[in-house]
Amino acid sequence: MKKYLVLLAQAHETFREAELQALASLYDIDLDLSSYSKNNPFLVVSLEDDEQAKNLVSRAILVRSVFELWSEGKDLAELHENTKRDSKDKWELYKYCSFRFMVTSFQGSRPKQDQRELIESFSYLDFQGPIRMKDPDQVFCVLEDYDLINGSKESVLKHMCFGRWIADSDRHAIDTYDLKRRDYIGTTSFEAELALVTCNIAKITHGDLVYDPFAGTGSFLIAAAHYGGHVFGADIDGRQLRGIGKKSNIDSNFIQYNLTSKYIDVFSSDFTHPPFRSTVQFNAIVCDPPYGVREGLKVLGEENQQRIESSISKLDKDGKPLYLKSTYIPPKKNYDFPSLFDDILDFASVHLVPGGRLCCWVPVSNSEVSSDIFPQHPALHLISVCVQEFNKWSRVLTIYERRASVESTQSTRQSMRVGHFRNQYFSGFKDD
Amino acid sequence: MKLLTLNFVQCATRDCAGRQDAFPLAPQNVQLAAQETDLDPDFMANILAKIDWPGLETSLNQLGRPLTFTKEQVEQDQNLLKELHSILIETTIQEGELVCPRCSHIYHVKDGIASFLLPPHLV
Repeated sequence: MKKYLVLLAQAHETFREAELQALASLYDIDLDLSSYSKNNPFLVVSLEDDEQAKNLVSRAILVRSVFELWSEGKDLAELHENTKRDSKDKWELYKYCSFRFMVTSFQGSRPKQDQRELIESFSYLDFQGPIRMKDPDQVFCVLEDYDLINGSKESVLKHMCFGRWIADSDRHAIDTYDLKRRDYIGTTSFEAELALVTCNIAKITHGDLVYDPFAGTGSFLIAAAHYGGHVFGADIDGRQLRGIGKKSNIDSNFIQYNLTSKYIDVFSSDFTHPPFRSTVQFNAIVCDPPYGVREGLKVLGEENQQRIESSISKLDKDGKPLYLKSTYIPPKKNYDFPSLFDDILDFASVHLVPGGRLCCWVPVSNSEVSSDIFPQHPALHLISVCVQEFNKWSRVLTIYERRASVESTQSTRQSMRVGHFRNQYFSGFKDD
Repeated sequence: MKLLTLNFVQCATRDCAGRQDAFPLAPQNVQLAAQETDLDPDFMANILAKIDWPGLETSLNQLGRPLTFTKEQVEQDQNLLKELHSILIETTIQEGELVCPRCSHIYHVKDGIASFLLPPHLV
């Protein structure tokens, strides 16, 4: 085993661990994250070889790069001391290849002249190969972490690392799939970064069959397809699926990103009445269900018995029932989020392959966020929850995995234990 | 709607949900279209295990394009896998109706998108 330095992105810190663990499990990597710290951009891990390091980070979103770790130190003197002590056996390997150096700093920086001096202080490595700024054989990197001094813009050096660059992450995909440049979006389109993270955590990979039952404008379908998933989407609102004309719809988004071959279908359906036959199983289910804030949560149905009866008997001029015509618009009734979440777990317990993951976003008021409020299902294992905190409420990514076998001792079922999110939202999350 | 999807869905009404005889939905008055896409062998291997083969045979008979090979033959022959890809992934129902073999409820396909929404007396 060798030591590698994972350079983490300083964004969505609570999601980074879940993403790395999911990718490690996807590539069968035995990953020890015991040194992981939420506030540290550096993560040191032990891995077999460069190939494994590449696998671990090359599709990660909340990672920047991975390096073969040569040495660490609290300041430059200690870094040099440790480089000379621990990495001497590696110097010979890179003696004649082309190379360049780079310096990466956090919460602090050095002027250009200092950077140059810093790089030159490594001259004892005695690399004889040509320096190439473009496409060198190897890149060596000095990484520095600074601490901000309270109440000022000044910062002090805390820690340094030195290593050989191995691979960059998939972070540039955030820009590729930026909603600002996407042909078709809507008011509920999900931002690219967390949609991609969701699909990584769902362990979506080549050849997978993926379903989003609340597809909307297809944000998760695009992210899942980026990682090789073949996607199905459904939505109760057919207008969102159809988009606006031939040039701006879910289909055109797949064309824009050259992912058409990953796109299977979208259809309108209500989540409480999914049309899949019971033996169809997906490798992953990813979704951001409606929270019921914007327009209330609706499902198919009609509370009023009289209206149900009258809708059966209404005929068109040819004597055909109106409800069988393509222009018929069925009535909808109000529904509540905890019931919908129960339905999602029931669906996942039948329609996920064993080991397959359900990644479902849930709104929770900040006063209620804790891991024991989320629903449980005997066939599903709640792996973890990742919290994106806003001012008064949070968007929580819940991650469930379908159990290979259901043991009778685990047959507890529990619904979500929360107040009514829509009421809380409109009362400004004040205590009842 | 691709023929793969036709093989994955059944009638969603309260009385038909979960019942095997509410599958496959029978295509009626349909317009088919062909749309070329890349063959993904990993994906085809994945869905080969998920296809309801008798259901696929029934659907293709109803569409007047009977299958000329068996599931076992596909597993042995790359060319047949390509043919199956062209049937399941490249053939779409653009317009038409899908009728439940059990309760005769009619679902509509418009612009290639099916609707499985239901009237209140069937939910």
